[in-house]
Amino acid sequence: MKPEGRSLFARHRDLLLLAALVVLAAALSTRLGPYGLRVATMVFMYVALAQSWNLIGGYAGLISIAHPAFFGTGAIAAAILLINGAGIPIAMLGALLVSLAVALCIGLPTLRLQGHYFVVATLLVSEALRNFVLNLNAFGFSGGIAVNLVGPLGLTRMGPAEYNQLFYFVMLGLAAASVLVVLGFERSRWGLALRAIRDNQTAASALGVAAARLKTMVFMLSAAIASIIGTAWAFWLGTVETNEAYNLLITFEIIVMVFLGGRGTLWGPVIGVVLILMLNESIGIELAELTQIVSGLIVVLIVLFQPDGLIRITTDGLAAFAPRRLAANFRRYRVT
Amino acid sequence: MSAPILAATGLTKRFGGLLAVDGVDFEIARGEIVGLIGPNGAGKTTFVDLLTGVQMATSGSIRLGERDATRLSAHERSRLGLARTFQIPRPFQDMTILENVMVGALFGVGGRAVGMEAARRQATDALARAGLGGLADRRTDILTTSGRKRLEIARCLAAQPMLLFLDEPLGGLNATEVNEALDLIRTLRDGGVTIVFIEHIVPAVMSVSDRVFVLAGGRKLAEGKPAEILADGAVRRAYLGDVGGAVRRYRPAATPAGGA
Repeated sequence: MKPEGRSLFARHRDLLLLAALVVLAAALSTRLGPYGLRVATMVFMYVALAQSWNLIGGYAGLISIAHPAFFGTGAIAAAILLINGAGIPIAMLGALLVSLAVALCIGLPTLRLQGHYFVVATLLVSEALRNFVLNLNAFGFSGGIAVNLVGPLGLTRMGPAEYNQLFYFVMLGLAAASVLVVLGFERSRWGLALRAIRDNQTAASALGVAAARLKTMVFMLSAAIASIIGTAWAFWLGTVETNEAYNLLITFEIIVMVFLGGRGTLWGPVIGVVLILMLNESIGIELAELTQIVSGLIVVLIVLFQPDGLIRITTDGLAAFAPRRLAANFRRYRVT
Repeated sequence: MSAPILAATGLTKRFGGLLAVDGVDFEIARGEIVGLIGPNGAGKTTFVDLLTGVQMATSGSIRLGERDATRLSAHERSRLGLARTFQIPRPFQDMTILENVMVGALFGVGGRAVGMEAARRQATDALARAGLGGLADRRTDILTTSGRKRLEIARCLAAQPMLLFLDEPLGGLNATEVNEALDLIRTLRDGGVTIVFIEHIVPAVMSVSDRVFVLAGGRKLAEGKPAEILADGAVRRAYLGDVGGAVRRYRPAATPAGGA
């Protein structure tokens, strides 16, 4: 926390940076070709997703693998509502409500668990839900079959350029909103309380922090954002399939991004998203199988040698990655 | 004794076959300092855990003022005016020292009404009172043992408790630091805070307590004024040995103020 009497600029530095990035992105929208537009839209989507995971995984320190359940339900529930004749707003809202119900059902039991038990439990419920949806055969929806949303969305009226532009701005808006949520959260009493719980839940509770309630609240918030992005993603693709919507890999990717950039920080996840997507785009086409090996390596190296992530460069400069510092981190955080 | 601000009746904690705390009755009145002593394994920390809600009692009841607090969780009791330090300090390591203390200001007694700026001021004040002024923006890993114990106290002060439990605040401190800590405890009491004080340094407990409560084997062994406890044969046999001379010789040295 910075001392009092900070300059206006310092106090609003993050907001100004966000505004500048949004203006820049908006200005770029007309200059990017179809490929650039698609990659940029993907970056925005991942920024929003990474920030939603950052709330629970970074600030609360709970390595939740339940994200596919929320992202997937956001996509599939919206699709089911759409093909049953609901309008777009109802489909969006309905999907959000279903996801929140799912989040409550998952969160209440799993948030009582600690450490690895929580990780494994959230992974299992995610997979269980994927299998449930895969075998679902109701409401004119069949789990194994892709749902075409182009008609119900009215996208046939749009040209491809207009359509790509639209989702570029939708995802940009979601990314900016998710950064704003994290920013507001970070500066609030709840952000402080969450970091206290992460460091020592017993001490935090003894100081009056309602730990269980706060963790549930953040879990729901994180789930809500993931669900909204899931819905937007389904609308963007125009076709949605269960295995893709509930794909664990998307969650593993955002975890790598958040760890790489710096978990529990505002800009760390943004840096992580840009770097990993750049990596995927550069080697992912020819050597798709390599990208996951590289991601895995990155997360292991970061956790071992610089657990604060690349964001450390902004505070410590290159010294954050001096060999001596890395070795010190390795000794300090080593699991014995 | 005036109406107790905390009263426990028949407080019991069982861990499997072990009775850690066995049917203990305990009361404390506003403004008192009660020393809680007993041999290692007597159940002192478990007893404080039960009173503060860090652990739930197997049986027995706890009243906080007029309220039944037996089933209330730790954070609910904190909001009713309890605060505690831990025997092994538990700093929030990824925060600055000021942020650590702000948690107490924001979530302690009446914390819901405190804004961030007010919490910052309250925390700064608590840090100064605990002798950590000037370290606000540093991280907790720079603190010595004594500094970490002070941080525990500062966090509690910022929560503005009416009843403060100090779990071995003097452990690992040198003679000068012990005297500073005792002065701090007296200052807190003079400021209206009621204090329960677990400590192994018997002369220190005796010098600062209005009343001493002795636990042994999870049961109350004795309770009384310091002089009565020192004269109690059962307490001497169970715990004290002959410390009468040590207490008479114990004179807090004049020490410079401040310093972590």
